[in-house]
Amino acid sequence: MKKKVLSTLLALAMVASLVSGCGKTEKETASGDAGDKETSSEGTGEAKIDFDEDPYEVYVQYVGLFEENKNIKAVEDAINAIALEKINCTVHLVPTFIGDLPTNTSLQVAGGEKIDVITVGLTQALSSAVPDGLLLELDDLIAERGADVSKVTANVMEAGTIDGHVYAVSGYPYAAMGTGFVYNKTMADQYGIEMKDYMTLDDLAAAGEILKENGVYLTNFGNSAQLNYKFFSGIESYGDSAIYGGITDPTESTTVENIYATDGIRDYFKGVKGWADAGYLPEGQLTDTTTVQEYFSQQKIFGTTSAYTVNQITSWLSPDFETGMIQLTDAVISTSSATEFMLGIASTCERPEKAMDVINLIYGDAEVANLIQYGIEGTDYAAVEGTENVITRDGTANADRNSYFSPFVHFGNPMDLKVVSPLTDSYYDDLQAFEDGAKKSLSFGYAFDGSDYAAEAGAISAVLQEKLPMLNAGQVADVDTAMDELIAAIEAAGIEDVIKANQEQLDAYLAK
Amino acid sequence: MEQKKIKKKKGQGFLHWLPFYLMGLPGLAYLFINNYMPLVGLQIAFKKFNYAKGMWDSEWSGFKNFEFLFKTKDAFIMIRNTICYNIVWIILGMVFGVTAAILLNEVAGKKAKKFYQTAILLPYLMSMVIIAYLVYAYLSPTSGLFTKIIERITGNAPEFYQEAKWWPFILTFVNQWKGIGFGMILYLSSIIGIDTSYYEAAQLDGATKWQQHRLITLPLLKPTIIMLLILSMGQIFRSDFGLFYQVPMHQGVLNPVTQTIDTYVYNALLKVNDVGMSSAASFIQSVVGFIFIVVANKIVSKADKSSALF
Repeated sequence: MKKKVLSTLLALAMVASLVSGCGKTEKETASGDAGDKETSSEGTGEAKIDFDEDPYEVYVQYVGLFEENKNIKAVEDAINAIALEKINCTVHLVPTFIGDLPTNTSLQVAGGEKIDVITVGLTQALSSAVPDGLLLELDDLIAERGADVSKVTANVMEAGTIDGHVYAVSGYPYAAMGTGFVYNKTMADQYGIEMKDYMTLDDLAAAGEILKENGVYLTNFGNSAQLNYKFFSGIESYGDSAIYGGITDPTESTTVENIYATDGIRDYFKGVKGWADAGYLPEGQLTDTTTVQEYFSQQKIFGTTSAYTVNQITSWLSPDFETGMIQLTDAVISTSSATEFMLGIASTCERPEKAMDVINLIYGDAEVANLIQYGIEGTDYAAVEGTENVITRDGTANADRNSYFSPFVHFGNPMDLKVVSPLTDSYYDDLQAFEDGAKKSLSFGYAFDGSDYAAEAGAISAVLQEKLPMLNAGQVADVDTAMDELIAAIEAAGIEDVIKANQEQLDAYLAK
Repeated sequence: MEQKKIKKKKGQGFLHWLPFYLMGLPGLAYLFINNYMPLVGLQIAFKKFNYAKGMWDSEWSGFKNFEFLFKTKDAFIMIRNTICYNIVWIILGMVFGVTAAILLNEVAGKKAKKFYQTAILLPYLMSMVIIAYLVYAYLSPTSGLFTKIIERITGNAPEFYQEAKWWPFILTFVNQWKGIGFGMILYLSSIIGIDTSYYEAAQLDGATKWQQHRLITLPLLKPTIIMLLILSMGQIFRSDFGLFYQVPMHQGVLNPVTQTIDTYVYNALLKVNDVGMSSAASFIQSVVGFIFIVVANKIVSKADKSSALF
């Protein structure tokens, strides 16, 4: 009897679990068709808003360093005052810790949680988010309701395109980006280190020698499996750490190759080993859990590599010393720079047209863009006297950066956004000049769809996680031996097949 | 006489047992929600998961999700490490756990007994991240206590985090130090349940302490030991991620001795973020664990039917 009851219960349990698993609603899968509920002036991009319906609440992912920003509710209210009047909907900012971003996005979409506008590119490439089914196609929505989005991001719209359809809009419509070295200018002046506008690995080594004499390390690479070589080479990398290959000179060439098999990377690692052997890098950096940012702010290192844009330096400011930045490679407009931060609409969004209205509002309304980017004037930042558009967080409730702050997000038209001191009002001209002076990558707009190569990518990634940190830190006994081992291991993991597929996809893209 | 009574009870029917089933209902509900409902998700391991289509409508992909586990030569290393460490630790855990339980049971003072028990159990309650830093404090290349002592004595500072040869011992020590307390409690609870009259009779017959434990304690502990052994067989294809990833400070150079299935999956999927592939890894671990439990139980039941779990 007992067995019978138990087995009946278990059988019931199995059946119920099957039924519950079936519970993916039609609403979720059919969301892509929901965009036609309202009438719109077709093709003009100007949405006709239905002000008679109850305001719809659009959930917008807000990526931050913390789970909560203190002032986020007040920012929401301020945005909503405008959003209600202009597009008859409200915005709910969903704070998401950057470390959990890909997992959270996947779980929110897979679990049918309410999320409408999601961020892409920061930690998950657009090229993997699309095959995973996280994003909706935006072509019709942009054509019907995205006039401002189109206007601002026209130059880089292609970067958000996969298989001929737009899936996300760029937060970097001015996408020119080079690489650079941010450094402690006070220290450079103190020790008489000459910093030129452009420098190479060897130029920095000269600075390393002077710094060593003064008990400061040149830089710190930590225990990282990132491809630091890209900072000194300007390569276009496909996938993190070029797991899908890369292009060595993206403004001149469209040949995808195994970056790890090039002479350039070998010479780079030899240079870094030279730094480590000469004592320019901290001992025990592979086990040291202090971050590069902490090392820099504590003035234990002179500087560190970083992306180079007109306003990048503001991410590295310190109250204790003056910061400077030199360029390592030329600015290029590439798919990766344009897709670094993007906004898309979740595939489970119930009212994609309202989500597009919000995105369009962010790109078209300077006040909304500044609210969502910087928070509320007076609380989260203050205007710098004698300037038109320069702000500072110092001296406000946001001085400790926990009132409303995210260093990662880029909302709206950069020409509408205020700038943070020490940038000046000349920023806008500088930005335009930087953009105009940059070359466009020949493969701009192309992104590799690696969804059929996930097994290879996983295996290659595992090899790099194992072997790259020691090379990056200059801690290998012999660079040639270590590189030969690394190349053999990633070739065994199938990198050549991936690169071949990447080249075929790129050629097909260019042929179109 | 006894059998008749039982038969009579059985005859009382379902109504008699109903209150017991009702009492068991919350537990069953938990078991159902937590352990049985997710079983349908096993199919994700065989699908190219698409968030828009969901679990049921995503396309089947055969064994494609399993390929990444066997793509590199790491496959052998991680399976070898996972299984070998587990076998050694299961045996050591049993020996140390039983020994600690017997020794603790011999402590006469009540307060002393409580103190030792708590002290031995304490590491079990600590997070692996904290333990990683404790180990680092001893082995750090620049300021580690052991590193400095050895440097003073031999003139050479060992590079613990750069040399793989140390880690089988370090990991074994940390694992046993952390886990011994929990095993000890399980064995101790069985030892306390042993009727003291056995020991009194043995003492009257002149048995030494060693003989008492060899001939009374260990035979009576056998069912507990076997049960824990069979249960631990289910975990033989799994590893403590914190122990293998945090404690060696995720140093790639130590991979030959610290790479296990769980750390490999983490390294491989950190950048790829693929639900199907992580499900596939977990699926293999569960299936192998299941097979090991069934086989271990079969072997035990062949030798001694009453000790088998099922």
